Amino acid sequence: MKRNLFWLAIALLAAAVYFGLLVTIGDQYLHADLSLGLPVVARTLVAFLGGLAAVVILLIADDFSNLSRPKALGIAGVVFLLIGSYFGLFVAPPEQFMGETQRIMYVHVPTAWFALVAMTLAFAAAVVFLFGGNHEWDARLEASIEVGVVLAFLLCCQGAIWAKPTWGVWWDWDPRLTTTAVLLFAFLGILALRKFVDDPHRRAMWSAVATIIAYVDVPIVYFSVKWWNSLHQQQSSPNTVSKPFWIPLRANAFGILLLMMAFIMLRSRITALRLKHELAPPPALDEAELGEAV
Amino acid sequence: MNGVVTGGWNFVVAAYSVTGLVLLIYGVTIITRLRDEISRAAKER
Repeated sequence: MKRNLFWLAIALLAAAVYFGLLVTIGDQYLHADLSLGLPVVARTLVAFLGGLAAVVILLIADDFSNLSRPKALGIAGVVFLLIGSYFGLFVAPPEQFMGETQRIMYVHVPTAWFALVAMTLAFAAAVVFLFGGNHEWDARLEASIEVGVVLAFLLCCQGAIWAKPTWGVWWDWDPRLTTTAVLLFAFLGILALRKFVDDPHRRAMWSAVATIIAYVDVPIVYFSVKWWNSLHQQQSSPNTVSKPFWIPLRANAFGILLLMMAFIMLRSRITALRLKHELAPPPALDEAELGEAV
Repeated sequence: MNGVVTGGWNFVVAAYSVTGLVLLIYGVTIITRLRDEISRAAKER
């Protein structure tokens, strides 16, 4: 990975963590104003856009040569998840109506965000591959889809565990849940498709086209709670989430963001190595072997 | 019935456990597959 771009991504992540998390910790526990004069909306925007920009830079700049950087991102992700889970389980108060079960939100919501982000990275990789034909983007596509599928599966499990005590059922064919299940199986289908195609060029082309078609479901998942009458609650914003809930939610969000990127970067190296083997020219035959072949 | 969910710690513990387990298992499978792929590539060289 280009060294300067990696450190630019880390700087953006640091800014996102500062304005998204540290300012809130300072406000709630240290009684110190660390906001540098920025209002809540601006801080949230910096955290959101800084995190997303870092993800895009890490994806673009990764040339599959270095293992220590994805490992470091993964370790940082685990640390954030441990901090977020500690606050979510032991520090944050129970919610007024959902009581203790609301603590599930601190892992469920970040998982949902980054399942959709991983699918979006897969979509971007598919578009770039179709325009450029560079198989590095095919490796990134496969990695993003697989990580997105794992997060979408986890999302459905967490959702079912939340649904039982709050709705009384493990599953309901509600618009949000149904479109999420469709998303999971559509991207799972693309992974299956890749297993059945031996030619790497065709495999990359077909899965890029299939990814673009499957991605149509992502905005439908996001807007399903607004478009249809859904049991699932609508998206939250800093205005609709109480301040004591911010730290566990945001710490876990940074944790899953970092883990997602670590997983995608490590997983894309597996595909890149396999593609290198598949795309390598066949070894030259010596004269004796050539005679036998003829 | 007052519209407030009572109890529920078992569901909370289940959700966090499933999250940790799925992420851990997936992380381990990635590292294992990457090691296998690296050693296969090294043998071919």
